[in-house]
Amino acid sequence: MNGIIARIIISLHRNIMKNELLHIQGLKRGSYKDFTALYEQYVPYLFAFILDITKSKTLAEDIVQDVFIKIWTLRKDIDETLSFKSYLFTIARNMIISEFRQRIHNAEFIDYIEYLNKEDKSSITIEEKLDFDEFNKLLQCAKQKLTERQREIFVLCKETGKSPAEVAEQLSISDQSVRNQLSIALKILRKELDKYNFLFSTFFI
Amino acid sequence: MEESRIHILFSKYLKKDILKDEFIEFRNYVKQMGHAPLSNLITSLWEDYEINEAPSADHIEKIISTIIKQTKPKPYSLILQNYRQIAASIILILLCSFSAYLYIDREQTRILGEQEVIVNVAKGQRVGIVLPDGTNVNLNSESVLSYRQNFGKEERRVNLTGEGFFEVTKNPEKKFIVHTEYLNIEVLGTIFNMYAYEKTDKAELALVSGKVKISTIEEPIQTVHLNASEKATFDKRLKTLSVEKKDISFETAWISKELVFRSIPIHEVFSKIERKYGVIIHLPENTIENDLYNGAFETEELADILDIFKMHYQFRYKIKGDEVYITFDK
Repeated sequence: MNGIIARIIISLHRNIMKNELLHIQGLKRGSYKDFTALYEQYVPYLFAFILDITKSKTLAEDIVQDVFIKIWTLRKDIDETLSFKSYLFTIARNMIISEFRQRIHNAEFIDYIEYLNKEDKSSITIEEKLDFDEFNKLLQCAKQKLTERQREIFVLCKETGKSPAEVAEQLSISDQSVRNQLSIALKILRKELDKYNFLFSTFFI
Repeated sequence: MEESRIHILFSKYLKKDILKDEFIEFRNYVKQMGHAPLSNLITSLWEDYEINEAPSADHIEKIISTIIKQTKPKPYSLILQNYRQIAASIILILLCSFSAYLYIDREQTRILGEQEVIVNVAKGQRVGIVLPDGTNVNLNSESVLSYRQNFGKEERRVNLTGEGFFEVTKNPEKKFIVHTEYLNIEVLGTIFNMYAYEKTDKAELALVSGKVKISTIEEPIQTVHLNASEKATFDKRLKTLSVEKKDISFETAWISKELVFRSIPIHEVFSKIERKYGVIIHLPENTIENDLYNGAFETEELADILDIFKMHYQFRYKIKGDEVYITFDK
């Protein structure tokens, strides 16, 4: 029984591969119909992958668009011995890597990860989570409400990951006043972020 | 050991399931990685990738509609893409009018003769046509050339806006006249490039061989005679007509599908590229616009040319429809 299913799956898979090869050959000849078949199949897949890597919907949109436009422009040079999935990735790879590096080294990205950690424990489903851009926009708005000193302390503690004692030494103020300022800053931020109706209640505690 | 650890961290990161400390560890790994190992790592993730968060239909639709907008061939430009097709269709029109000339009585022929033939070139396209007297005309993007069906019966007259490269068949008995917005050009048999777009503030005529007579349309009427390898420029604001002797390969480069730049400020280079490809390039102010550029391009695709500038000047660009946006990293 299992053997039959496996055979069906293999033959289905072969059919898909065969169709795909036909589409690639069609695309090479300049057939827009075959191009349509390929992008309809692969746009959602590539978008989801880039979104997972960059955590940014607008960036993922831009890259996916650019990749498919490039594939259409370079259609004559497509190597049909590669699977379309591999070819697609060779076009997208360098864009993805450079964006990925920039993203994770972004100072606010740590805050975003922290937000994700906290949100996991609440009842929010994955779909409702903000992407990094949305999150960062709210965070920047909220930060405007802090005084300069509070913002400085918040950035040093949260975004560069220093301990209150280290920050105190760096700014030549007392340990206690760093803790106080940080706790005020967090309260303000939480209040600000709460305004946006997202469930930030657990964030920054 | 380290490799499997980073794999685990990466897949946690993809699923948004990574803890803050793990993320910091992950970030440090990535920081130390060169391009090749990171590239291999991401490639292997791609090979086994399964969507864990179905993308919303809105995003997918938005992406697909942009792709369609930028790639779908327009039926109109499909016709124009093929030089030979358009030449053939114009020859067909001419054959029709010739047979009409033979078979229809004179009065009808006269009416027919006053009808205009208009060649309208779409943005980003180039078209080569042959006029009834054998004159070759190459028309650049967004140019319009028109003439009456009785062209050549007494005189050879055409109207032009945009840019055209003319190889005029010699005929001492019938002058060849080009009317443009500001200038009239009168020739017998020559090769020249006329640049007369409405949106630019200059009209230029570069003469490859032969002789031409140029006169302004508005008062005071100025007339100059041009010899080979000279260029006449009419300034639409100052209303002045000037002549200079120069290498005119720059003016005629678009015919051979080449772009040649010799110590040309970038803003001018880009305006030639804009014209050739029918796009608008947005370059941030006070960046590289006055940088002098030397180089020649033979490649066809706009993206290939932009890639060369991108490498040279370290900028990013994005093509959106007919517009190109350039940005610099801080």
